[in-house]
Amino acid sequence: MRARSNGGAMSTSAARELTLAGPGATVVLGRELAAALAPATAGVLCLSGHLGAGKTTLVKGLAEGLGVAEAREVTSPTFLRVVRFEGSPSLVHVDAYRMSGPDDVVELGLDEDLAGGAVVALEWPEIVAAALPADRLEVALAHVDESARNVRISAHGAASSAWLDRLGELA
Amino acid sequence: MLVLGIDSSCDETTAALVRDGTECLSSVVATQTELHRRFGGVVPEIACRAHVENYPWAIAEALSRAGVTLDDVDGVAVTNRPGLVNALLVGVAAAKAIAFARDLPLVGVDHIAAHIHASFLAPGGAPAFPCVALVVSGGHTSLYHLPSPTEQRLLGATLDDAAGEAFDKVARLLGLPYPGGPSIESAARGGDPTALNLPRSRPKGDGFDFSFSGLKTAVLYRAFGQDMKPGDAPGRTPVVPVADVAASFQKAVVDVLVKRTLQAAKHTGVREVVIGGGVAANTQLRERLATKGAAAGYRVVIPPRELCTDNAAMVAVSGWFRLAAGERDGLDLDCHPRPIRATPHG
Repeated sequence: MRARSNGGAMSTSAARELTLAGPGATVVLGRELAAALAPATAGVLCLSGHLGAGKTTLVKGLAEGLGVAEAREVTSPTFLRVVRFEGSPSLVHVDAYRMSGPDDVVELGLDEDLAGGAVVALEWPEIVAAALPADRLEVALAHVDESARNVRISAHGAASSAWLDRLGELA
Repeated sequence: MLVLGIDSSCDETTAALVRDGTECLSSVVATQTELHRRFGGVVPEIACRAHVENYPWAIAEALSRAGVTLDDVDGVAVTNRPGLVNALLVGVAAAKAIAFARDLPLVGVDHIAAHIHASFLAPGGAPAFPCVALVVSGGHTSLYHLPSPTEQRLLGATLDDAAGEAFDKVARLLGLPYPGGPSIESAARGGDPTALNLPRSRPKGDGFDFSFSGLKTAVLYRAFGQDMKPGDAPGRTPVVPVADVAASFQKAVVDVLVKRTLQAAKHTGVREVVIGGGVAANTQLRERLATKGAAAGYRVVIPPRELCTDNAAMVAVSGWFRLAAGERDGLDLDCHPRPIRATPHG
């Protein structure tokens, strides 16, 4: 993984931009995000990007890095909308693709998880934007070509900024 | 033994009555469309709330269509895994209430095992064991070796998207309606299945895993050109005719599913192959597996289309195996989001 630039233009907090050569690099970034989480034991990671951008691939790496025993079973949660992996910390993999709006987050009982009860990795955050906590790490994946992806990670809030800083120390 | 089956693991609320695991008396599927039709109003999108409104009607309708009452029922089977827990809870609570009120035995059923057990209601007769089963739907794509009707050994599963989900997402890229399975199948008619050169990806390792995420991305770039920005795809005209894209994509999925299933059958030395799940309603998949399987010397058991998509008749069959063996679950029966994972071979 190669950092191209560290942007600072956003009003919120720091941001980092990277280029990922392929799915393997996306998994590695997921593992690094997991490694950078400690000492925190909870956090919200919002993953945006179009179909095939690598959102689920990144969560696979995140689960591996968090030591989730069933990391291999991390697959797209689109159909079920929520898949929970119990552990310490627990990982809650959410996909808002088939949700109608922020109310569904409450309907699905995700409010406690989002309030610091677990590591939440949420795909298609724009669909449920109003239900997201102020403190969150946003990962935007964009197609460069069929295999390469550009990723922009931005922190909103103190805990997420510290998470992003620790990620920077790892890279 | 007459078993009432109930399933609320995802979008549909379903109830069915099956006698002795082989004779389906009724199978009711309450979709959100059904709810909309009956109440004439706007329906909440999230399944849990819809299930609460749907299940009393679904169960009453299943009893009525079967021409029986709860007095005739000998046991209750309900899906308690895998699925959306909040949705599963509705069916499980309903099943517990009926079992408690009527003093009937209750058993929990694995939804994926139930998809395999739908084959017991196939017109050509139940499968013989051992067999290999492919469960392929919007949420699952898994291959199992079944030494007996009640033992499932996982041979492999998708590492990313389920095949049915790939159909839904490619349909969206092409601007075709949801659900993607039927709309791709219909758009593919008359299309050239060799128009696009699409990958038949095989994950690393010697197992029987699947991967469909790369196929979805390949369709995007082959259909819309290399300078494509994915967000622009829906509504844009592909550089290749939609019928050709749909036919090429459908063939790529079917090729992989059929090939891997027959490889698994050869590997395990079985003589019978079973298929289940919503994608098993796809005509190309049914025909190709039947033809290729028969050519390789296998008996291929394919349930009727309406028992491939989510239904409770398969749950009643699955539950009947447990009930007939004297197994019972208590009123503390729990729900689980993920399937029971038997250790993969090797």
